Amino acid sequence: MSDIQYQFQSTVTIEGGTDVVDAYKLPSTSVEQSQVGLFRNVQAIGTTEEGIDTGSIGTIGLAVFRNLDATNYVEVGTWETGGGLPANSQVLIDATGVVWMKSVTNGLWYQVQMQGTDGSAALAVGQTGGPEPVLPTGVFYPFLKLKPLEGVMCRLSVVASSLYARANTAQVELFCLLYEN
Amino acid sequence: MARLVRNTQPIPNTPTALDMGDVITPGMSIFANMSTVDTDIIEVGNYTGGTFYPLVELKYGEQAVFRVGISGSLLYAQSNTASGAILFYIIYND
Repeated sequence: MSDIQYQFQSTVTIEGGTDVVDAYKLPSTSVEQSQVGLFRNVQAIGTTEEGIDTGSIGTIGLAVFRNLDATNYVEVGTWETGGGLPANSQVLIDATGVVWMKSVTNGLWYQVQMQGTDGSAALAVGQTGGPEPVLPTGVFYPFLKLKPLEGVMCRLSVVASSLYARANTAQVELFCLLYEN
Repeated sequence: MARLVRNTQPIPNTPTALDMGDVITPGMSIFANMSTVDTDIIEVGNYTGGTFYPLVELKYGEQAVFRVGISGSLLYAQSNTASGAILFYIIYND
């Protein structure tokens, strides 16, 4: 068991047509880890979502992130394996953007595309039968956003393997400090 | 344009949209678990397609500071109890 003490004081200044200055001070909080451990790392994050290295952390607790890039923002979120397809889906868009529909008659997937320039044109089957479409391996659901040089602190509610990040426009360096829960 | 909202809202044990007043696009935010029971936990996350994808967890009495990177309509919270409560302070995304 170990205790982490942290304290934030936040003062916000908003600039605009009508300036607003406001402040909210967070009280300090003592956090007790059920298992001692932390992982500190700086990771290059590209523009395609990728897993955040969590080292030997078993269950992520508190986390501190800082975007070390001075130009581009980065998003942090969860990765849902399986493409988010509901069970018994009969339509999907694969990893290359192609639309597929599943036949209710034989259970095979067929590529389909709209032909013509108006709604009267029938859907055309682009490929009969297989091969099976390449399903998206997962979907990234961003939640946190770190603008250039911004930092954040929060407790995470995600398993280590689902913690992902994605940079906007160009690769960024992301500072990560993760504590065991 | 609404510039900030500060609110305390009951959060039950089902995904619940946060009442952000006229703030449509949230930015830098502070969240605090205001529950009075030390076993209460509140999760905050992305609600898309009828599914809640939590990312941030607030244990009893804890706070978090981060920039929300999604539309306000997708910002949801859920407690592990029917009587949770969250305080949030959300500044519009500049």
